[in-house]
Formats: sequence, C-alpha cells, structure tokens
Amino acid sequence: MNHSSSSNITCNFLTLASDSKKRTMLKNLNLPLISGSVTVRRHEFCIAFGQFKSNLHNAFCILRVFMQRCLVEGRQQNTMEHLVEIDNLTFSRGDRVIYDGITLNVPKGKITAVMGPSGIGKTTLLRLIGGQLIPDEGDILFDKESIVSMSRKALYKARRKMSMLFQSGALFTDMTVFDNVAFPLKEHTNLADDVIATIVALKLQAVGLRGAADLMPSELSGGMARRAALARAIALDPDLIMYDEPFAGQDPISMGVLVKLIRELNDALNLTSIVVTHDVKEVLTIADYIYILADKRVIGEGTAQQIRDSDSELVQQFLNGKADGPVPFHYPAPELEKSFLGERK
Amino acid sequence: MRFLQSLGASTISKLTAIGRATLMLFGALVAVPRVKNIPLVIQQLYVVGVQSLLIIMVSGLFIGMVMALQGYTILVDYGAEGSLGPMVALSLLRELGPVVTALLFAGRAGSALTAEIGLMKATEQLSSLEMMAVDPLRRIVAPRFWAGMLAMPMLAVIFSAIGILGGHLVGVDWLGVDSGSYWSIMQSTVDWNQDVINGVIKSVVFALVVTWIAIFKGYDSIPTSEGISKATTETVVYSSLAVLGLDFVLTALMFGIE
Amino acid sequence: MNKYKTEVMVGFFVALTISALLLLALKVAEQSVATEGDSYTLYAKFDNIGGLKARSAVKVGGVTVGRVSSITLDKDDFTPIVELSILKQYNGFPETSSVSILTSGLLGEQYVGFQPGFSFDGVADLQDGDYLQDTKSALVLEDLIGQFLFNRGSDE
Repeated sequence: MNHSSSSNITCNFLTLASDSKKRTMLKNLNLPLISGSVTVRRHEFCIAFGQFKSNLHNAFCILRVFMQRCLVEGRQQNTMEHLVEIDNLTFSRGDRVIYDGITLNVPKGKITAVMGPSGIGKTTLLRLIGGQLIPDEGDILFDKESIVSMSRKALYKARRKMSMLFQSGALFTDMTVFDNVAFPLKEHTNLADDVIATIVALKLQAVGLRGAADLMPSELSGGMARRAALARAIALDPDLIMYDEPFAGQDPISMGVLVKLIRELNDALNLTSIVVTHDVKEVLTIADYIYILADKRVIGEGTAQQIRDSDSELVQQFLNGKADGPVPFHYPAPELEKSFLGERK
Repeated sequence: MRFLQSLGASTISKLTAIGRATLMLFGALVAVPRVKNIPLVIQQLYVVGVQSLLIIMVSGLFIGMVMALQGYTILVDYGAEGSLGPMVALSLLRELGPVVTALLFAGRAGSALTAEIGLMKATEQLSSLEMMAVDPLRRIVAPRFWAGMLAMPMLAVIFSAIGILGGHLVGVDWLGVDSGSYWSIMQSTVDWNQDVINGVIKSVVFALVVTWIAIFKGYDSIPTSEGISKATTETVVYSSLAVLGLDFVLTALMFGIE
Repeated sequence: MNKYKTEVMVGFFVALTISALLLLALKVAEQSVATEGDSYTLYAKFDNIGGLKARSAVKVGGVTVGRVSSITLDKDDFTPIVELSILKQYNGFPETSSVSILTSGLLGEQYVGFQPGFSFDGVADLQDGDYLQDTKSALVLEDLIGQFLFNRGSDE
C-alpha cells in the first residue's frame, strides 16, 4: 500500500519534471559554477526515487516546492510582473527624514540595483521590505500583498519567501558552516537529516565552499563568509534575495566571484534580486535595472545604458565619483571665515 | 528648571525601558515551548549552569569554612559551639546561598549572556534570524531565559550544601566541635519549609531578575563595542543592586513577621 | 561528540543538584521532615511566656512531640495563649497533664515541657482543641532575683 502509492507519486513527479526542467537544465549547462545548484533538483528527485520506504512525506515536500516553482515560471512568462512595489514611501528615524515619498518597483526575475551615497539609508530600505521597520507613510507590496499591514503571522510566512545577505554575512558564530546552511532547513521543514545533508552539500557546492563545510565562521575569510551566507540565503529556494553591500571590503577576486554568483544564481534559480551598493562599476555590469537614491528620493532610474547617458548632474557626480558637485563636499556648516572671525570674542 | 527636565526625561526613559523589557519577556514566553527547542535549553543550561559550577562550588566551600571559623571563635566564648551547625546552615540556606549565588551568577553568566546577545545584535545575527522568519525572541532569548531560571536555584542549592560541608570540615574536623551535635542541633533548628524552601523561592526570584536584566540589556544594547561594554557593566551593577534590594524585601516577608 | 559532552555535563549538573537537595533534606533538615506528619492542636494559657517563640519544641521527658504553632494574646483577660501542635502518634495524654516553659541549658532556647498527668477513672484524654489547665510560666530572671532577696529579707 505504502510502496505502491509512493512509487506512483515519484512517477508523476518525474513526468512533471521532465518537460519544463529540461529547458532550465539545458540553459544552465554552460555555467560550470552553478552546476551544483542544477543538480540540487536532479538530486532531490533521485532521493525521492531512492527512498521508497519512508520518504513519502519528503517526496510530497519536494513535489510541492517544485510545483510552486513551475507555477511561478508559468506566470512569469505571461506578463512582466513586479515582485516588490514600493509606493510613495516616507520614513524617518527620529527627527531625521530618510525617505520622502519614494516610488520603486522590482521586476520579477531580474536584478535590480539600488545605489546611492553612503549614509543614505540603503540598508534601511531592505529592512523596510523585510518588514523589520514600519514606514511612516506609503505602502510596500511583496507579491501583491502589503508588508506594512500584514499580521505578524503573515509577515513571518512572507519572509520565508525572501532572504537577505547581510553586509557582515551574519553567520551564526557558534555553528559550523554546514549547520549555518542547514539552519533554515531545520527550522522550516521536516526533511530527514540525510536529505538536509544532501541539500546543504549542493548549496555549498554552488558557492564553491563544500570543502569548508566543517569550518567555523571565525576560520573563514571575509569573502568566504559572505559566500557561506549566500549559501544559507538560498537554502530555502527563496523568491527574493536582497544583498546588502555585497561588494564592500572585498578583494578583486572575491568581488569577481560574488558578481558572477549573483548573476548566475539569479538566472539559474529564477530569483529576483535586489542589490544595494555604492560600487558603481560592478553593478553596472550585472544589474538589469538601476535606481539611484540621493537626498531622500530617487534621482535616477533605468537600465545601465540609460543611467550612463543620464543628463542629471547628480547622477553623473555619483557615477564618476567627483568630490564636489550637487552633493557637497562639506557637511553643512557656517562659512569658515565667519566661524573663525565672527563668533569669537 | 533644567533639573526638573532632566529628572523627568530620565524617569520617562527608565519607564519606557521597563516597558520594552516587559514586552520582550512577554514576547519570549508567550510562545508554547516546542519539543524542538528543548535541546536549545539544555545547551544553554550547559553554558550558564555547568560552566558556573566551579566558581559556585569553590565559593560555597570557602564561605562555609570562613563562617565556621568566625562563628566558632565567637560561640566558644559562651560555650555554645554546638550551635555552630545551625548558624552555618541557617545563614547559608536563608541568605548567603541565594544571594551570593545570584551575585556570582550575575558576574559569571549574566555578563556573558548580555555580551553574547549584544554581539549577536551587532553582527546582525538577530536581524538575519528575523529575515529567515525565525523569531529571535523564541530562538535566542527564551532558551537562555529558561536555562537561567533553572540553573540558578540549582546552583544555590549546591552552594548551600557545599557550604554546610565546608563548615563541617572546619568546625568538626579541624576545630573539634562534636560531629553529632553539629548535625543534630542543625537538624532540630532547620525547617524544611521555612528555611530550605524559602531559600529556593528566593533564588527563583533572583534568577528571574538577573536573567531578565542580562537578556534585556543584551537585546536592548546599542550595537557598538562601546554600547556592549556599557550594557555588560550595567547588567552586573543593576542585577547586583536588584538582588540585594529584593533580598531585603523577601527576607522581611518570609522571616521578618512572626 | 560536542553535543554528547554537553549532555553528559548537564546530566552531571542535575545529579549534583539532586544530591545536594538530598543532603539538605536528610542530613540538615531531617527532624522537621519527620514532623511534617499529621498533628492535633492543644492550647495552654500562661501568665508569662518569657522568650518562647513560635516553632519552639514541645518535649516530654526530652523527646520532642510537637511544636509551638502560634502565640496570641487573649483579648478578655490579657494572658498569652500558646497553641501547641502535637504529632498524632503521641496521643492519649490525660487531662491532668501539665505544661511549663523551660530553658535548655543556661543560655539555650526555651521550650515547652509537657508532663503527662496520672490517669484515674473518669479522667478523659486530651482531645484536639482542648485547653491545658495546669500551666507553669517561664521563669523571669528579675522575678527570681526579687524573690531571692525577699526571702533573704524575711529570714532575718
């Protein structure tokens, strides 16, 4: 009874898999770095296939994830949708206004970059999308649902579909790299330990750290820590992944690796990515759409080419890194002569 | 005028801090404990309990020994050295056990809890938990709270027992008080409910206060190195003061009114 | 491995706590554990209770049979009433029994000495809630000295 029904399921599963999966696989075959994450799926149903005995439940889980993925893919081919829509958002911290009525859309399946000078509150934007902060005005829609007015329970459910790569990596320092990546899987799924071990190994393979699984985070270099955190961020196959300054403080090699990973993960796993950064050069090479924030609002948007061609003085200052311009070199202060000569007695 | 303003401002900020602390505790405890989380509590019991065991046992031994030594020199003048047993036992069970354990616990485990949670906040681990749809209050705060609540009364009982043995060591084996009278007069004086259970109740209250302060200070700390060092200091200072103040209140309630 | 070690150490911690509790229960507070049994209540009126306190022992020939559970003042005649809680296993004391407040040793604490009376026919046993009629108050040092001086005075 148990045997026959479980083999039935796996058969269905295989036929479902074959059509749309082949396409993705073929598409990804020329991307050697990412081959690990392609095998994620192949391996997932290998496991389902192999464990007739007791893994009926696991097969269901994988089937469900897979069918969701198919639905997402199907929907996406029809129209160009926005996964995140920010509408007229105003946010202030204390007396300091950080955003004053910004509107911003993140198209599904694309890499959207948000750039701007330091201290503009770019990280704040990601926290707002993640529902960790509540805006003063305006709305944030994630997958057509308002993050702002969500109940706590719904918010936690929505967060399972997004993940965030923090600037510091934010790996749990008391666990090995393996346990870090396994953490979201253990928290949110009931998969058996050996299945989790397989998935973790494949995610780590995708970021090139399978050999470092047993290291503690303190033993990793900065670039490796960020890659390990990336493996953790994709562990649950999220829809949206947010990168907070992924290139900050990286040497050219790890920067190159990260740029490549962000692009390839986005395409291979059908993710939607938001990259918050001030590294102009790297972002222009990978981003599909770019927003530039400054002075509490959006000062420029468009594809990489449109941004380069922009005639806004502010945008050009930012792109070319000029010291002085619309964004002043000096922090607001009274004139130098006055403060030396005037106020003194 | 300025004095009034600063007084008002500090009162308001203290009150909001108490409010935030209550909300945090409530948020951590409102969750039904899941079977999945029991290993987390055990892990934390190891960190706050087992790792404090050595300092607690050594302090208990020495405090018991010193009390026997001091008590003997006074009691022997009145020929009442037989009362050494109850003197050591009662002061340990009623006061020193719970209080000294709480003070040592605040210094040893409380400061570590604050620093750990503060650093988790500073390195964005708490945020990243939240973004992974895992509530840090339940995953990080609650197990540490329960471990503290369990560990401290356990440590206090061990402290008192070892102290009484230390008193025996000095009083009986060294100074020559009769072993039989050490135990028998102690037995006739010490009451299970009145002394032992009340002592345990005291240390449960202290556990609540110390663990709560430690966790809240870490959770509420400013995530910079300066902020965390300040939070750690405040944990030790505030919880020590709270323990000593509460001890007076509890003693008055339990033993004061005949 | 690491997890195994943690669990062993926590187990050790718990075992240590239990043994400490056992030490406290059996060796330190043994007597009072034994007195946790059922008891019945007797009352006695004294003129003066001296330094008697709640939880002082009640002894028959040196054997503790109960404790003073509370001390109150009678509102009508302003004499102290001592409530004695006696263990159930020591029952059947005759009504003619007497109680007195004694001191153990020169500086020791005070306790209630209980002298069982003779039982004749027609003398009932003490029941729960009964008053003991025959009581001797505590000796107060100042009274003793006063008495001594008075006696010396009358001798001469």
